[in-house]
Amino acid sequence: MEITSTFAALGHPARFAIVERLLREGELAAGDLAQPAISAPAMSHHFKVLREAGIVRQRVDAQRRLYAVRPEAMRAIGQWTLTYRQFWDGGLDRLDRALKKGKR
Amino acid sequence: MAELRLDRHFDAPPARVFSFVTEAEGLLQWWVPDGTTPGEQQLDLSKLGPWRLVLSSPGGGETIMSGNVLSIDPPRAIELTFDVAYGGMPPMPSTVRFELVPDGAGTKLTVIQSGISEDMVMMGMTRGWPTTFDRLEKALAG
Repeated sequence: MEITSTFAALGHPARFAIVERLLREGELAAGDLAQPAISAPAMSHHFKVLREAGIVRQRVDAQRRLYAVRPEAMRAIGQWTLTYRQFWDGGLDRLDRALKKGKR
Repeated sequence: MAELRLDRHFDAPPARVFSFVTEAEGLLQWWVPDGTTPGEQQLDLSKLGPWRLVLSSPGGGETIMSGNVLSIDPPRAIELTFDVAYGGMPPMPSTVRFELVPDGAGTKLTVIQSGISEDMVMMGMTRGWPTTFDRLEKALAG
């Protein structure tokens, strides 16, 4: 999975809202995910982008299309986004040690 | 665009802390996370222009950090562009500013990283994403 395409896919508020709801509520039908301001064709475009980026999977149950978040996508994102904060937190700890070492 | 801001007090005067945020010898002591090895480097942040640091992790992955020093105001502030590319992926651009103010006998150093793309922010820094992950982990385990 390309993490950059994941970010690009999530960079749209409507798609981010879909993913947030799926994370909160689990698998949902396309109809349950409808957003008032967004047309049906636009919604199906958003689903397509999310599917192609590997963020959600789709299955068909009778007449309904059901969507759920793919856990492996979420794990990849989690590892990625923690890095800046970790980098600076860890860095400032190391800087503190380095400054103390030099003083002795 | 959003920003990440951290500050920390150090028991050292601003001039000394400033040398650690501008000179290669000092920077290498805190910009190299445990377990990674510095490779190619161009780390004189005391003058305007490009900088670069390549870090290798044990698994063979490479992180390329690079950018340009935009402004220097010794020993108070320095600002640089800060682009990070992991494993051959396109760089994620941002800007980092270090601000130093005297704090008692020491220094308060503030790190401000801005221009981080909105999607990263939504996921990591402001919206409780880690909590969401915890929930997801639980859901997966259950």
